[in-house]
Amino acid sequence: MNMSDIGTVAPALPRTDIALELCALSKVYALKRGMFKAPGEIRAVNEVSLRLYRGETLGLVGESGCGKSTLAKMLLGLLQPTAGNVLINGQEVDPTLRKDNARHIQPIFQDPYSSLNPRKTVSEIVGLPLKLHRVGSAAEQKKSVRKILDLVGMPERTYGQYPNQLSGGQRQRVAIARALILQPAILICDEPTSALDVSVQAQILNLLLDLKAEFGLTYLFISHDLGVVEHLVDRVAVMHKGSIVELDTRAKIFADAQHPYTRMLLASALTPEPGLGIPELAVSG
Amino acid sequence: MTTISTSPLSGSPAGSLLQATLKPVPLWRRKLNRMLGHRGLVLGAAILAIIVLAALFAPLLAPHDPYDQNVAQRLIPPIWNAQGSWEHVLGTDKLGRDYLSRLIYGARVSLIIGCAAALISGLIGTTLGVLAGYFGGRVDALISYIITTRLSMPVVLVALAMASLVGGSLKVVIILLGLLLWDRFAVVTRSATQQLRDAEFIAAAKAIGASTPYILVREILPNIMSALIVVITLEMAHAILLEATLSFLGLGVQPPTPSWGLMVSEGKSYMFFKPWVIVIPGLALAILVLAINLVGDGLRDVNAPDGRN
Amino acid sequence: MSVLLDVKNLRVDLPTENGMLHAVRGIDFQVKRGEMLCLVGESGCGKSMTSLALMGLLPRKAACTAERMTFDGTELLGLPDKKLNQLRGQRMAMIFQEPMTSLNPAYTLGNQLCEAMLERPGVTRAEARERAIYLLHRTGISNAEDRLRQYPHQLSGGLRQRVMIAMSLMCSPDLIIADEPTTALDVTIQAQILRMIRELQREFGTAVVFITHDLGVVSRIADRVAVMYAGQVVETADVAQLFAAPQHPYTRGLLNCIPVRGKTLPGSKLQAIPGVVPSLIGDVSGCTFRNRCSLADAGCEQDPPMLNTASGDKIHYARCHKLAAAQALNEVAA
Repeated sequence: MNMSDIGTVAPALPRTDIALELCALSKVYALKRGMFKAPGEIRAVNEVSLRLYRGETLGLVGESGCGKSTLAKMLLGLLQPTAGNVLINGQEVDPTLRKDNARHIQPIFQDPYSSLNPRKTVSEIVGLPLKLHRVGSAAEQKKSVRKILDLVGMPERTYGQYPNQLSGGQRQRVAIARALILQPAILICDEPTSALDVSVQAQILNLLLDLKAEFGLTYLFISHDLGVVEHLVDRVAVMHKGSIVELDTRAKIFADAQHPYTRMLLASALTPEPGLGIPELAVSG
Repeated sequence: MTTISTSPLSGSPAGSLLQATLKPVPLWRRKLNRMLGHRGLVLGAAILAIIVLAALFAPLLAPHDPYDQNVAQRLIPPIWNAQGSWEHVLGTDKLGRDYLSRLIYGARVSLIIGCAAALISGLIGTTLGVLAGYFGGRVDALISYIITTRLSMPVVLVALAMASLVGGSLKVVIILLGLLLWDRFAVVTRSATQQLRDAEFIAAAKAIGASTPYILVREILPNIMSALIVVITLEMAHAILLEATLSFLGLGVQPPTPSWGLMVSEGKSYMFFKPWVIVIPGLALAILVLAINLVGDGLRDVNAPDGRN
Repeated sequence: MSVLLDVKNLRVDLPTENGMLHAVRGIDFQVKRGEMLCLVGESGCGKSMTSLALMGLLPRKAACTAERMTFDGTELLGLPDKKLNQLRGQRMAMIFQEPMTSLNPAYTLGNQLCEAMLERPGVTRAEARERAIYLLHRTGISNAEDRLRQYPHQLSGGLRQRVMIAMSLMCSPDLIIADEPTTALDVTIQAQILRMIRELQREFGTAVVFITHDLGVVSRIADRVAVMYAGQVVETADVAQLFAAPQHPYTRGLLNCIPVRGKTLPGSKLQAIPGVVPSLIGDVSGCTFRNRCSLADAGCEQDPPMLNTASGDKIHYARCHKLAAAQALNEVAA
């Protein structure tokens, strides 16, 4: 590992291999405005074009309503895009063909309390993707489940437990195990640690770093927590009102952001440094 | 920033403490403990169990054949009356048939109709409700329209009209009630499904590539079970009462089959002289419906905090 | 500055299916007039329970005891409901976490704002209305007069939280208890609201107990900090002191596991605190952090004492028996 780089542990990336590409992806909602007016439109995602290179972690930051969750849902096939296309490994895909795409791209959601089916045990939850895709025999599936649960740090006694018997951190580990069991190349992490305590967050972030190094994963890391984003990502895309307003390397964005919205976001991030007070931001809206 | 979830599944201040500290107690065991602690539930279940067992073992329990007519022995009063005898503990009806035997066999009719009608209407209503709740949009609009249409119909009158067209019998009553009582199922399962539709584990299942039928049956249905069980018990009670009403009006089960509603009908002419003829089956109906309602309410109480904490 | 809120040995127990949950296990703290005390802790540490206990809003099943829980000399425990109601809303106010559900959707904002103030004898509607408009204006809400007629659902989360803050200030309370008031808001809105709380607090001289899990927020707004873990206060100090020289291993661990620009190397592993919070159901003894502490030894089996490790008349308490040595040194030096 080359530590003489610009203060980062990860090695320099080859920028040739594109894992995920978004071309002018849009999601427009029609707003009814009464019987006589023409319907208005809400552009939740406005012609977003983005490239995710293999092996990198791309951070997507923005506040609520900026469209980052809508974007994530479209990538996972949970929402039909209004326009634009998605390419995985250079191939254009129909995001709604979820079964085919499941082996390439998987999510980790924010809420560890609702991302697991309360009526299923841990091993059932993690084993489901293998069952659905008919990967291997029942015995092989069981083995894979054990292996991945071990990898995410879940002890054996939890395999038969239900989600409400687990802590938030443990549930998130189960969610990660479920996401990884099909060995996808791309993980969409939608605020995976926002609902966790700080001490648990550190554990999960370490886990994500380890897994990325071990499996060569590519992460799209969506978060509002700039401290976490700065720690984890290689590049940052800033989203505001459906569009990407700035996209640059981590170092550049955090040292010298260009766009005023990015600057405002960075200013409002409260790092634990006493004596700095609270920044004065322009009151917007 | 996406809002920190405050869904029912996330914890209250006490809840989050418990999450971090819960020892593994089997889910079913905790539920059982809670059920046994609920007095209404235990009482209702006990009464229901007695009635079900009586119905099951009717041939062994009934002292006489319920169809056995003996006009010489008609309208003998029950045991607590001066003229009663132990031969006919609850007396006889106008055709000399033993009342106790008819009561026990009548329980069969009520329970069969209650279960069968609840089952059929449950299947219809749950299917419609889950589809409407999950898909939303036009599917929901159509199904909601159907539900509203059904709700606008007075059930008793429609049942009467249909029964008079087709003629009353056990089979007809079951089918009729099954086709009419599904509305509550649909409404409850629809709203329960709507709440679950946006849960992240459903999104995760979709992302894994689960097909829609799989999600509906294996992800959503098990999670609305608790609400569903309550509705099943309540609709059973509803069906039993409706059958009694239909039979009373002559359009349900036909004589000589013993049905509690029919027994009330057959005795209404002597209501003031020999009140036991209608009081006994009426009381039986009331007790059965009460027991079922207690069980339904109890299950709802017991299941409500489950999974919320 | 005189002491406004004095809490000694507060305990809250909650009966559960699995046994008695000791949510709060004997905490002491004081809040002086006009001071901002931050209660920091992660989920399950008992901070929310503490705030509910202070306001008398605990669930009925909960048992709350304390040696002392006085507000400006009045003992809060066992106070009859009528007197407690007079205190609440008039001299003690609370701001809750969820702006979406803490306002009653069936009443206008004006109605809800004036409600508490009208409870006071001799206050006219006009006076209450005027104050409401003034406070809405101060909390940065435009068109204050029109807003009075609006309903909660017509406002965004950030605006609702501002209304909540205005509402809490209506009767000029001496103490505001804010339970994670900005957690559910966007970062930029959070910064604005925090700044506003700080300014208003200084202007009106209100003491604030600010409950949060976010150490970043704490560092920027607190005067003093009390760190809670597993139902106890494990460290309490002035904010600068706490961040400069945290004494308790938990506080240190917490500060170390937050990625901070310039301090943590991007891409490196964070120093996570291993293990999980122990169960607070049933008997709890000894130091509750010992299963996760790198410094744990046999002495940790005993309940750790709260020791003052600061010199002079500064106060920096930490609940760890290992600090006895440091305290002894201080005493020798003094």
